[in-house]
Amino acid sequence: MGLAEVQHALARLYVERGLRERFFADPQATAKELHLTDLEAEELGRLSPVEVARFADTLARKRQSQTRQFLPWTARILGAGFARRFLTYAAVSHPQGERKLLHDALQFADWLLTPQPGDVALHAWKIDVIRYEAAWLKSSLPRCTLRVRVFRHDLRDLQRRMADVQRGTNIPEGVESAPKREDEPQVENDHPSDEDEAFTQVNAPRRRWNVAIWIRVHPRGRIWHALIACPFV
Amino acid sequence: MTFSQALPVRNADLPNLGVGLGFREPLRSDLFLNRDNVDFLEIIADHYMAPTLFKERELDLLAAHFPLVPHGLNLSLGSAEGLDAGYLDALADVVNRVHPPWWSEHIALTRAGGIEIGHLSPLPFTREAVDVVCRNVESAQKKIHVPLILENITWNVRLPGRTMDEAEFVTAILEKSGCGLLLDVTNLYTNACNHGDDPIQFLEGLPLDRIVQLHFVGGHWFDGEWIDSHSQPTPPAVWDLLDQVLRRAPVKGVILERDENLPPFAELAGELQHARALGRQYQQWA
Repeated sequence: MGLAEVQHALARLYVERGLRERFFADPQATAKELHLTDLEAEELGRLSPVEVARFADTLARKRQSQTRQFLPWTARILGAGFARRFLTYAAVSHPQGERKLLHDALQFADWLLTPQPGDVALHAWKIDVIRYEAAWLKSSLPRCTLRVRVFRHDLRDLQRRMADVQRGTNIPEGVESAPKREDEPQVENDHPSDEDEAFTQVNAPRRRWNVAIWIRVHPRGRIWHALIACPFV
Repeated sequence: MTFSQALPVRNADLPNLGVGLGFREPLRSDLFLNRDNVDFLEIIADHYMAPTLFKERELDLLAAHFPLVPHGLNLSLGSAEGLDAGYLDALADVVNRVHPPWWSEHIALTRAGGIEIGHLSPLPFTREAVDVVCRNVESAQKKIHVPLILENITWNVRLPGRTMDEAEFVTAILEKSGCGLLLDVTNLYTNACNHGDDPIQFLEGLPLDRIVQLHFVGGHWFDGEWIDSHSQPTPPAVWDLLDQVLRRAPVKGVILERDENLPPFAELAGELQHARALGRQYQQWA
């Protein structure tokens, strides 16, 4: 046993909430699970639970923020539900290796598309949005690609609505427009902005067949993409 | 005993790069329009690992117009289990492509036992941790034959078992490894805010002749804690600290590390000018 094992235990305490709570409740009882000697468990038990929890929160917020950047439409349409669902997903999933941020976002998108016990089912149009963004992420992996996806809702129209909300030209009555960033001190945003809530209150996109195509002829080349609204409803 | 004799960083041998910017893609157009305001760029090495053709061309274009210093994020020099060979190879490809005068990484842990922590996490201030970092530095320098400088980090978790303070810990690593120091002045300020440490006392505990480069930027308060968010203009307290460092140490380069909430380029240029003026005051550069 030595520093390598202690660091492994620390890493697990940082990312696994349940384990962290069990450890600080009784370090010696959890020592075996962490492959620590009694002495190492005693030493790590002197960590401040508040400091470790705060650091763990920082990691979770950072991971969520990074996933939002890969799934911006999904984050916007889910509003507060994005953060809530991400916390549930992140407690049980820890991506590793090359492109882990992208794979984290992809895995979260797949998780959202899988019915979760106790969670409210997503509207069909929201499922289309998540499928669309997941397809974009898969297409951005470094390999030759030909990907075609069909959607039941008009994502082109949705794209326009999102741009309108961002510009503050399509806010439903009674909902304040999103505050300008330069007017308020920057804080880490794991709460929905008014902009997100405004968007979820906008009428769902109309039902209209859309076809999306992604083509990449070189593994490191550009992605050619088209989103076509079919002329028939 | 010094672990690494291969590439000890001698400050006097390094070029004086001046004042520069951490390169961020949204700044690309403005950067080329304002080339005179930026002496060099720091690039995030991870952004150019296994690059697309577009990112490759971007890197070559930047290298053609600016001195570049690659900055790694995930080498995890503090890992007792050693370095990730695949990551090190990818990092070496980036560094060797741009022929920098030095490259940088962190005195930190980012992975252990197959778990990616996702952020720079602190090391225990112990002799064992010093030896681990130095061993990993030596491994890195076998692949990357360019001087390495190491950055101090912010930390929120006090690890038990410390046998020295942070300045002694950093100094021990630098002297044993032969590396230079990338002193992040904002990190120094952040730790002072959050832990009540005296930043000048920390500064005076460092080998000042090993300070090669500085980082500076602004952060914000959140829930009673100063967050090193890289998202705000540099606050007066950080400017004061920067002044204190430039007064004492023969710094070769200073980087504004703005990542988030990017303002108009003129605002960034203003901060670069301010840093440049501070340095000129102490004859750091022309």
